[in-house]
Amino acid sequence: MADAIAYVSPLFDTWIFAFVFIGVCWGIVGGALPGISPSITMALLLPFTYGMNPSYAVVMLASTYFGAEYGGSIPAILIRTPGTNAAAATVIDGYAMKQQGKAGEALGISLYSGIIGGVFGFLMLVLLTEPLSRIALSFRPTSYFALGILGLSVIGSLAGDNLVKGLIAAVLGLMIAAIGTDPVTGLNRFTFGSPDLLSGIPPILVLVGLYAMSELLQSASEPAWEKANAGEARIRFPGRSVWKRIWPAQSIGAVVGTIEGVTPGAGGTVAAFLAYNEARRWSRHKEAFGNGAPEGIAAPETANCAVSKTALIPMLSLGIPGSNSTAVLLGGFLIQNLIPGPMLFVQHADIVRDLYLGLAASVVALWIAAYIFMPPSIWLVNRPKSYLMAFIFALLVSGIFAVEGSLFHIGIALAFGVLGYAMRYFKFPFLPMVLGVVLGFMVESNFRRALVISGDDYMTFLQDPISAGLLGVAVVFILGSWIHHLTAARKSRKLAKAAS
Amino acid sequence: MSRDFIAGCVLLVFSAIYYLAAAAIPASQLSDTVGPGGMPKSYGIALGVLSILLIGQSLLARRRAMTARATAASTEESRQDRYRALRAFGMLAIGVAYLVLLPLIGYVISLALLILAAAWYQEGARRRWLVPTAIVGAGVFWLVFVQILQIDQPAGFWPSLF
Repeated sequence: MADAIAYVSPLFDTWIFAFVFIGVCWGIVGGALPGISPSITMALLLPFTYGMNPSYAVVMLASTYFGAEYGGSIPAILIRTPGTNAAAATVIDGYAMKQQGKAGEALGISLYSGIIGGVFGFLMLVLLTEPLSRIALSFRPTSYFALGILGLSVIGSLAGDNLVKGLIAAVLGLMIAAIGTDPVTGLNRFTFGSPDLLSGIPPILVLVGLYAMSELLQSASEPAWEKANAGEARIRFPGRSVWKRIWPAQSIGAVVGTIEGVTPGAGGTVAAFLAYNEARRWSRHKEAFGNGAPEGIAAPETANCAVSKTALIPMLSLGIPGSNSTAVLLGGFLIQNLIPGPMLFVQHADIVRDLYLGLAASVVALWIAAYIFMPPSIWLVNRPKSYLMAFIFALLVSGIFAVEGSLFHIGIALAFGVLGYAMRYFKFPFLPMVLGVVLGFMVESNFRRALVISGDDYMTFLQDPISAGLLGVAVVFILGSWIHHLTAARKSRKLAKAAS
Repeated sequence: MSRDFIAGCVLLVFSAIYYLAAAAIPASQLSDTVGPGGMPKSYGIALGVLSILLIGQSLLARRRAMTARATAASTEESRQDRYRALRAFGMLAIGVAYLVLLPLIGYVISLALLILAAAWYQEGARRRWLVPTAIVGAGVFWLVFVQILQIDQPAGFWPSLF
């Protein structure tokens, strides 16, 4: 009974619901702006979470992720421009429906499919996360080192089409993590005599610089997007005949979203396209796909909204972010001195409980906010892009200064913006670098601590069964992605030869 | 020269400098066998090896895709790249200017100037609304950050006048 009361008591903390609502609304608006991905929407919010109650901060960020995944479908349907990458699959049939005068119905299918995806993803999150984290109690420095290596081993699947570039980005991330005070001896490394660098470079500056600042630099040479017709943007609840058609597609989307959510590197975009493809394959109305099929909206929207919940499973239970958005969310946890991973459930069970409640509430919040925030989202999409970008710039520099009142931090974020721009130019992926930054300290400190404890016996990493198991999985991951990259390279060479 | 080749060369030079800097980290009496410079040195070596691999990859790819059409296309592409990089540099300059001006003229004025400059630079925004938008925008930010969230922002030289 006491347990039940303890679990229900946060329900009366109305502030959690307020932050859920703020997060979802911010997510919808950010997701609706073409070019502003869920990770950028979340990164813009990060500086404001400093000094906040940890529960409110993580709940708001997770709700933003969910809201942004839905928000991306609004411009996809109305102006044929996906607000997020994952909404690209929604463009195909969403815009076709809009052209047939069914924009309201398309927006309704997108919303209710997103809600179903969110509910299913949330249930999977609750069911799968806790059992995964139960092994935590027996973790030692060797196991934490192995966990860090496992986290880094997923780089292969996050590296895009060039494994070497992914690995380079990861090593650069590890180098950034090495700046500051040495975890064992307390000596200063790469601080160049600057007291601002003694505590290292906060991950928040890396995230804001790489994702948001570099997007601003990139946008300076990109054209403005189309305008939306506000009159068409009224959500309509899908009729019974439509529900009959879309529920199989929604089921496919929910399953695909769950699988892709827990798979590192897959994310909402892969899930959306995979769900679209599967929905078409199993549909009785294959010919309607591409010409305004309701299933063509339902499947990808259910999938990407499910991913926004299930992607939290590896992040919460193992501390491994599998996508850009979960990497930013991980940054939000670190700001609050919360280390996602096995011990989170032991040391901060109250925050995990609040997060679960917040994520459950975010589904209801999305339902309400989608109706309320449709007109402001359309209004914002229709503002001149130049003003929007200028205000985002102002928000970024104000927010970064608010973190610690440091001009140096603004400079660091600008520098990472330049690095992010260069990485985009040279086609280096961001996520491996972020993984290096957030896992670098864990890998180094636990590696050296384990060696000190074992008297410099390297076999200690194989003698601990958890460590050995995690290292074994890491080896499988590395070999798997290496083989995948080799096969893909061979295939593309064959195609190029055939074309010439 | 391809982008990958240039990136590989730059990273190779950087890895050598980084390795030398890591090797120069002094050892402490409290040090373990790995030491404070141990991991950074291994990162430097790893980056060097990966940079060489990237250079090798780019040279192989270049040999495979050497056609006249590709060269012509890449000339046009590099012209566009230069234009994009210059535009991005302009945006960065606005950010750096804000950073320099912020402690001198204070938050509200430097932010108004940032909004004004960034909006104008992005696509030469409608001039009639540019100045009012920048002033109102900076005022709203000041209200939210300084008055509502109680976050102190630099006031510049203004307080010394009163």
